[in-house]
Amino acid sequence: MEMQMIRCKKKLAILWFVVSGLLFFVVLFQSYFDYYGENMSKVWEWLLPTMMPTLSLMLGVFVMDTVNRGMEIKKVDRFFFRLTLGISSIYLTVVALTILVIPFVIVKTQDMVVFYQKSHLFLGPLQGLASASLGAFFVKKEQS
Amino acid sequence: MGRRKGRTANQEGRELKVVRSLLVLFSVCVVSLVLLAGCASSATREKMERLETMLKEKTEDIERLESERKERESRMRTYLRNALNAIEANNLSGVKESLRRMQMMCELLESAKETPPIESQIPNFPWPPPKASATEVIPSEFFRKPSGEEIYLRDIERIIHGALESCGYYEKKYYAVPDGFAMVTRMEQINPDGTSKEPPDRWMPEVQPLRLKFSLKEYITRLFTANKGYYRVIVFIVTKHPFSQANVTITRGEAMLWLSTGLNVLPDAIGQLAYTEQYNCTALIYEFEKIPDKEAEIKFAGSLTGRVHLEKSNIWKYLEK
Repeated sequence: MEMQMIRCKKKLAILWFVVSGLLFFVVLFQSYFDYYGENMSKVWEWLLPTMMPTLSLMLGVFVMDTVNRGMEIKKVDRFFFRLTLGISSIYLTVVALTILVIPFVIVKTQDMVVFYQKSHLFLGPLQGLASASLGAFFVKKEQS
Repeated sequence: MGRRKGRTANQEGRELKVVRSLLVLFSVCVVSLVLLAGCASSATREKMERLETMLKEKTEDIERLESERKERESRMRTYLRNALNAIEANNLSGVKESLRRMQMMCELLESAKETPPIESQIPNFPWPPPKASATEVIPSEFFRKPSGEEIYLRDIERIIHGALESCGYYEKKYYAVPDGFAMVTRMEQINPDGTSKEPPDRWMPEVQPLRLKFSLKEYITRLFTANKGYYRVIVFIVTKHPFSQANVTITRGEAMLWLSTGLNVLPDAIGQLAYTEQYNCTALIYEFEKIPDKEAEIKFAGSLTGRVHLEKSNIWKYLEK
């Protein structure tokens, strides 16, 4: 069973932009309140690479789609869309938990930074999976 | 054709439901984790409460042993006096009986571990006291008896001790000051408004992660603002000498040491002094603020006055009774 490519892209983009936006504002407010002290830059260095590559890619593809409007409607396999949506959801959930769980486990800002850096161990593979599956929608040459 | 369009619309509806479900799942995961962490804290809390109870029991044991020792000494003096009276009265059996009892008491005392007399080792509180965050002179009416009978420093100590116990300050230490004493409470963690934190956080030397008692307000606060810790030590100084404060900045570590170097009870040598009109009881509050990864610093220009500190900790209320 197939779905329209543009609809899949929109749904994935909504998921990514909504969750990333929420997490961005959480860390932004934390920065305003000097939550991380001298380690603020290190936290942003951790957060931005977890979100920005994917968001930039999505936005770029949407711009291209707008420019090339009028092209033929493309189709994509429904199973593949659901798989991508699932992997993205899991990845974003883990990123969110990494930030939201901090008040329960850590007090010192230095330890928070270490915790964020260590989270690359489990976020890295998940990000790889999410990026690979999203590539089919946002990078792959679309079939008519 | 129309049927096909209808099917496509149905599929899209289902897909939207899937997206919504995933978003709901995401929210549920976050909320569940927050709640689970809150529940997991109960075991730690129970353990801390057990430890606190044990500590209290041990303190009571020490106090009981001390009173038993004093009682034995008093009995020995009585037996000796009886023996002397019996000798004067030529009552041989009375002398024998007194000596027998004294021998039994000696055996008992030998079996107990002897401790040096505390009166000879009263540690002195820094004088004049180091600069405090806030000060409050407690009205003498709180201590005077309505009958107007004479009172002693041990009575004052008893009143302050009772008020502190009622507010949960079970650990206190005593120091000597000129013609009086200083009573130091254990360093506690407080809220910015001066109220004490709930145990066991109250007695922790560092701010703890949010795992003991979950509250959404506390979670939001901890999520967005730095985990600042506020600490307080209260020193009651009872002396007849007016005093100023030395221009010395005390560290949190030094203030914490006060609890380990002081005496556990007020020595009789000080307790038997009469509380005359010249005497006053002054509460010195040493408040510290600690930002994570930095050394704690004493707050000199704190927003709370000494009176507010005493009121928020409920000590004022119990002293007033």
